[in-house]
Amino acid sequence: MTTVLLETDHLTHAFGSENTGIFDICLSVSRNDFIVLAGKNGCGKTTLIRHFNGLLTPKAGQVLFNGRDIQKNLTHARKKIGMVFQDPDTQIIADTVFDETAFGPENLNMDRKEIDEKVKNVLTLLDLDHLQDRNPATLSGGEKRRLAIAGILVMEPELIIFDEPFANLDYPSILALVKLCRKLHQSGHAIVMTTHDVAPVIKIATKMIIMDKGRIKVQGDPVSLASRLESHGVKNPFTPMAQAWAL
Amino acid sequence: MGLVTLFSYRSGSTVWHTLDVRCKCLLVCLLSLAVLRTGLPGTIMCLGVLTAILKTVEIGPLRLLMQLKAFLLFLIVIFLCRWAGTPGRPMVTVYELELTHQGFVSGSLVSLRFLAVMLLGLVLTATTRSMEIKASIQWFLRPVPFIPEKRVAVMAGLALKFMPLLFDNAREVSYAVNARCGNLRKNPVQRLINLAWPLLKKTFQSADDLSLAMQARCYSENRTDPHFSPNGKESWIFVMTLIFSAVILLMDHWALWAHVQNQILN
Repeated sequence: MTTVLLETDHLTHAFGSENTGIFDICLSVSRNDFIVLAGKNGCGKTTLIRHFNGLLTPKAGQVLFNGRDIQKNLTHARKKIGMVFQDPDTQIIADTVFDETAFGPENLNMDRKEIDEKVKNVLTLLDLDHLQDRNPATLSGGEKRRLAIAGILVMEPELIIFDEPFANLDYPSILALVKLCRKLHQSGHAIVMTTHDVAPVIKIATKMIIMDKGRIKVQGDPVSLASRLESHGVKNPFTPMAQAWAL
Repeated sequence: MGLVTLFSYRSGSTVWHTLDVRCKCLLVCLLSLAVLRTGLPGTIMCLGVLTAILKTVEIGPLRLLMQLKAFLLFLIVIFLCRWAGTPGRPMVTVYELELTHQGFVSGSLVSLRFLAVMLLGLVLTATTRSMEIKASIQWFLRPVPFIPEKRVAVMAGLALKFMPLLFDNAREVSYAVNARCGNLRKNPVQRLINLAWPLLKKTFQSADDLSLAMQARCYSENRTDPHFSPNGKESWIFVMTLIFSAVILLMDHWALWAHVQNQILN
């Protein structure tokens, strides 16, 4: 049985002129979903996912989490819907890897012992425990991305949103991140990932949504939608040219 | 891989790292007051001690000079202004401008005091996590009535967090400007504009991103604070600092007394 975790109901958020923003977005994320949100730059992907986390307030429509409007209890929504930003440097707040991971639970006013225990577990899970005293600024791109994920995982979210997670990562880091995403999905987390490079995840995603000019153009099975990607400005990973680039 | 800016926290296990943050804040206040009251010899002595402490946390004098270039330039300007603007016994005359002995001493004292206070702050930020500093500010302000200690501590914590970010942004912008030969421009005002405008934009963008990231993780004033963990050496370090402060203050008095005696004898 698939349970709907998150739903948007005619969600609209226009910026200034009527051409930029997102318009009339209706979608649902189920508990076992791994959704790839594809589209070219400026199509509204980031605006849409910022609504999922309550960072933006809709101009019309609403976002429902477990059937309730997220704006009614933002703290609960932000605890249960974790967001990994495109640039991990902007997400890193604390001076050590340990403190950075503990930032979320501290905001939730958890007990110190409980925080320490959870942080240790998550750091071990993401293979960051040996770096716990390091300044996050000295980590590599892949380690920073894992740290950003650790900071989210420690809050025990049900849905994890990744905003362009492969940006600025080298090939081994992309592979490691894809493995981690698959592991998180298998362990029961729903995942929504925005990207304009769908190749690393097209085979493991359960659904793909293609956006253009702030609207959902098409959604469905990722592999069968691949041929329609290029007409919306996204590289089709199965074309001969994309295969050649991959080589 | 990123670089750690001068004001970033660097992890370590030195006595300065493990000292209770409340004690560290008290020591910084005490030494700052002592530096502001002492004369040139006391300030120089204090600078020597601070440089040695910074060396133990892997910030050598050369790195200090390199990274504080802009600040040192500012200190030199202050020194020159004081030297030229203080009346007294002439020392050098440059284009009918008399530079005095008194101006030289006063300029050196003011700029070295600035430097000493800056280095004190540096010792604190390099060895203390910003969250600990925030927690200690909150602890100190708790008994003070009518002051929202949590809010003040949050503001101080954010300011501390933002300082390394600002330095990091400044470095990135200067690299980007110099990569397009911006350093070849002769006009200092134009160079400043080239640096300041993108830096301002980048800083506002960083502030915006940081606040979004904090909101996304439920940031609020009522949060679990780090616990204070004294290393047991606080009392003797406090006593040593008291003695040191007394010594640099007395040095000034001795110097003053010797000066008065000289004046009387002459």
